[in-house]
Parts: sequence; structure tokens; C-alpha cells
Amino acid sequence: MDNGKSNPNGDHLYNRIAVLRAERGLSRQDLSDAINVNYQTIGFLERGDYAPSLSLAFALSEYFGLPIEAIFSREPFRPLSEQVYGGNKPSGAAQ
Amino acid sequence: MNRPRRFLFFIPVETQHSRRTVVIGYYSVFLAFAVLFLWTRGPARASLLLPVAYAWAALLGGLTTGGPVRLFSKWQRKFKDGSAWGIDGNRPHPWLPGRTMIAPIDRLDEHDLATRDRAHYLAYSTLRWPAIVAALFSPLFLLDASPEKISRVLLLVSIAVAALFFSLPQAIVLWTEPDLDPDPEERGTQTVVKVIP
Repeated sequence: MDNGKSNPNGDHLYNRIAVLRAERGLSRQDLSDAINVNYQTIGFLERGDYAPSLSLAFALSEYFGLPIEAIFSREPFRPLSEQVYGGNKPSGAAQ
Repeated sequence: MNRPRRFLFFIPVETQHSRRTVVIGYYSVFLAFAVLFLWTRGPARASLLLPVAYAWAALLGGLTTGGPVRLFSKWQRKFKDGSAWGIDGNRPHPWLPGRTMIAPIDRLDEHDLATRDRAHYLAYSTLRWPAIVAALFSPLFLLDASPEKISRVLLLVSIAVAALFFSLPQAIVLWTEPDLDPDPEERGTQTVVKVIP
């Protein structure tokens, strides 16, 4: 789920935390323990209700081993499948 | 992973509905104090209500900072199973041997601090308006009021202060905290697909 809502500055920040967490089989509690925040904060981040500080964004980036721009974006993320396959239809797909 | 259940005054506050019910119940008691105060005859009896009202205010708001709401609480008893509505810290309990206290206020993360700050700001920016109105109109009232009437109004204002200044930020946190969607990982319902080569 790529969520993004307005923060108090009126900006939108989208993120892929829920997708990355599900991909790794982590609960919110597991992730919150790993980066030392409350489990609710993970939920609010995923919903886009809260825009993290740079420090927390770096902590998530280091934990997932991904650059920050792979986790957060000011633009809505394209679906992962579309990014991986680049919009190409797999061979054998119906024309 | 099972998280500890959240309680306030022994009432479960897992959902926004239950948290709001607690807030409504809490302020309903203050309203009852005010009605009782207006019906009570004699300044001595009326003034007895004041410490009761402040004690009730301390239940949610604490007398200084604090209270049972996690974002404001300085110290909480750690439960037997190690769980608590907060993040673990370490400090021996002052009178219960073998128990430790947790210090959630020292371990608040950035979202917690932002939520608490917003609640304080909202509470006190709201309360400034009744304060300004009271300051403007109180001289008119004091001009021809009897001492008994003045003392009763002062006691009523004290109850209002106890009700609002002590507990409003905590109540705002309880009222506004949204319910999170359940985490599929915690429910153990995530579908794991095995790829067979």
C-alpha cells in the first residue's frame, strides 16, 4: 500500500513502508522495535498520517537497506509490478 | 506478537469509541459536580466539592504533569508480564520490591512528542478565549455582587479550571487518536505463497 496524505505544511509524502514490511514478513511491532519507535507510529506512517523526521527516514532506510527515495516519495509510487516489469507484457500474455 | 491491552481507569481503551466514551464520562462527572455545587446550600458544604473536583481532575490530568495517558505519564508500574502501555525503561519501584517502573515520557518517539505538543497547543489556544471573556466581563460582575455570590462564582470557576486546565490535553489525545487498521502480521493471517521450482 502506497499511502500519502497532507502533512501540516500541505505537502504530500507517499511511502512504501507497508509493502516493504509485508514483503519481509514483519509485524508493526517488529519494525517499531528495530527502529526504536512506538508501534502506533509505524501505523501512522503507513497510513500517511505522519511525515517522519529525516532521522527516522534514515533509520527506516538503513533498516530496509534501501535508499530513502525508494521508501518515500512526493509523487505517488507506481505499482511495484509495473516498476519491475517496466509495463512490458510478459511473454505468452493475451494480446 | 501480542501487544499489551490498554486500560484507563480499568476500562479497556483499544478503540476510539471506548476512548471517547471515557472522555464523555469523565467530563460528565464534572458537570455533575457543577450541578451539585449550584444546589448545595452553605459555603462550607460547597467548598467541600472543590478538593473532590481536583482529585477527580488528577485522575486524568495528574496534579502537575502526568496522569495515566501514556504521552503525559512520567512513571507507570510495570505489569507482572513485563507489558505496559508504554515502552520499557528501568527503575526500581519505590515500595514494591521486585517491581520496576517504566518511564514512557522519557521514551516517547517523535510522533508521540508531536501528538502531545499538538494537544497542548490545541487545549490552551482554545482555553484562552473563555479566559479573555472572563477577564473582560468580571469587572462588570464584581461591581454589584455580594461577597457570598463572589465566593460561589470563584469556587465554580475553580471547578472549571480543575476540569479543563488539568485534563484537556489528555482528553484531546484520547478523543483524537484514530484507530489503526489491524496489522495482518499480528493476526497471523498473512498469506505466504511458496514458490515451487
